[in-house]
Amino acid sequence: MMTQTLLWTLSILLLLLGATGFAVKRDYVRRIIAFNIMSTAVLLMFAGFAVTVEDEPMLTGVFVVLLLVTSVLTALTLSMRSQLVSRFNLSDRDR
Amino acid sequence: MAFMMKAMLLNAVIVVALGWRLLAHGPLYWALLPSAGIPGISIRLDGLSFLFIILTAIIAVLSVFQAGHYFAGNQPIQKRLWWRVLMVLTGLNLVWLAGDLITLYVAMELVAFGVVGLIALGDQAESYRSALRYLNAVLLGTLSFLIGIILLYGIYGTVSLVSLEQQIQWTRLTGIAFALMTAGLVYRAALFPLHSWLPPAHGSSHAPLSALLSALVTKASFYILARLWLDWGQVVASPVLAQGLGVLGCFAILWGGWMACRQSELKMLVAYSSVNQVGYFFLLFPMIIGVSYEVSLLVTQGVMLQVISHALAKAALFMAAGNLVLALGSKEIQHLSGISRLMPLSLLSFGLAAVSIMGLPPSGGFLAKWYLLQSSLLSGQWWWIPTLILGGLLSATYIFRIFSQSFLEQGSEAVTQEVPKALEVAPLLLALMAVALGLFAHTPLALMIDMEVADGIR
Repeated sequence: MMTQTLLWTLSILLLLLGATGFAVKRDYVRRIIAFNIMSTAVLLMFAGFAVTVEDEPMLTGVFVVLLLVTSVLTALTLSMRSQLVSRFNLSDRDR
Repeated sequence: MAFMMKAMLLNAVIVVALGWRLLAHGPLYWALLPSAGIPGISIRLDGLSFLFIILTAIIAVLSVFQAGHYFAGNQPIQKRLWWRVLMVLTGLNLVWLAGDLITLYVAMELVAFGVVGLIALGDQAESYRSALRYLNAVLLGTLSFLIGIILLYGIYGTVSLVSLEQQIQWTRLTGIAFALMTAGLVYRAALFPLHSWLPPAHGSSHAPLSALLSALVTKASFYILARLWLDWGQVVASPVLAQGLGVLGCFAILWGGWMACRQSELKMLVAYSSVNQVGYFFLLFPMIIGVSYEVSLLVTQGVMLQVISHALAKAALFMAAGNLVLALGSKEIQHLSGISRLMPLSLLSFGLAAVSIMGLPPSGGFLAKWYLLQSSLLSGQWWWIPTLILGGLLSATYIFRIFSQSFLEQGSEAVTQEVPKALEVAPLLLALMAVALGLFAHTPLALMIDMEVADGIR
């Protein structure tokens, strides 16, 4: 039970940190970092449930899916951003 | 192109097979490896999902045909185009069929990956900026949806939509999860005031692709939202949340219409018209919570009809607008003068589709708005009626702006480019379907109502 509380507290803190970063920062590199912090928080939240819910294969599957999706989204954002910055010499700040 | 047509043929075969399965044996819920207790990939096929599968098949084949002719002779772009289109279509069909929340999540992300690729195909600074903005909506929207899924999984220990429907009950944590999922999906569906990513994304991509994006992709998030609300809404949704969504829908109708009236570019006008039309979808939510069964049935029919007719009409509008832009070599509305003599067929498709967008009889759009009007009277929620009427007037205003400009005679010496005849087929077909939908609406609606996954099916 201790582990669960610890994981959830940590997860909520990270979630708030990431959300603040996403709201405050206007450029996409910082934003994608904030997003990655938030997805780590989501993984921790999920891990917290792993203590109580006995459905291991499902949890492992979902973990892999989440990691995969997060990395693809990060890669896509960074490649779009680099197109904008290096090919068109534009700022990547969201107006 | 030839390869894509084979893929579309395969899709048609699968649609027929699914339809046969549905009509012969009724709705279906199927989970991979149910014996091992893994709610892995599961599929739910019922009337509503089958309706969307047919719609996707129709719009997909016509936009692929259109894109094939639009990009004819442009091999580099064709090479990058098709797998992205296939990715979007796979994701969409998975969204319609998904039987559990994790499958839904994966399907939504699959659609998003493909869409980002399609927007970036525009290959201008503006397209990359629009793609980034769309990604913003994807990042936040799906994260919020995901947190909702995890909470529900933690509470009920299952992600299957069918077992959740049986088990779900009102607790504070369930309410939070439901609100988070709703918020995420609303962002993805581009409801006012979270719509700002949609017009640049749809306006800046190539015309046949904008048709695909605005006809089908915006519907995916709304479909999930509607499904969740229809399944669980009676238990977990609060009337305040429902009314709030309805009010935002009204704002979307008015703001989208107003912005569409003020655009100077043809495709941006059509894109803002999507914001306007998406607003009508959200009138579903206030009228399914805390009302009689008849009203909720009527409003569900009305909104689904609106979704289908908007998909057909908007695809036609984007394709026709793309043809006009191609012929003129200019995106501006003020350069449209004299186009009525040069491109009568494309303008005719535009007009027919506009009949449905404005909601004039006998189109599908008319019937949908008629149902919405009736259900707001029956449920006693008369306050939606002024917006419905005003929204119709606004859409008529922005449509007639284009027509008054295109029938002007002076200034028509603009050099025009020859547009292949094949490009004018798909928008005409789609527009005809959107208009005819009003006359043949009974069959799809009956299919939707009769074929629901019963509670007993596991």
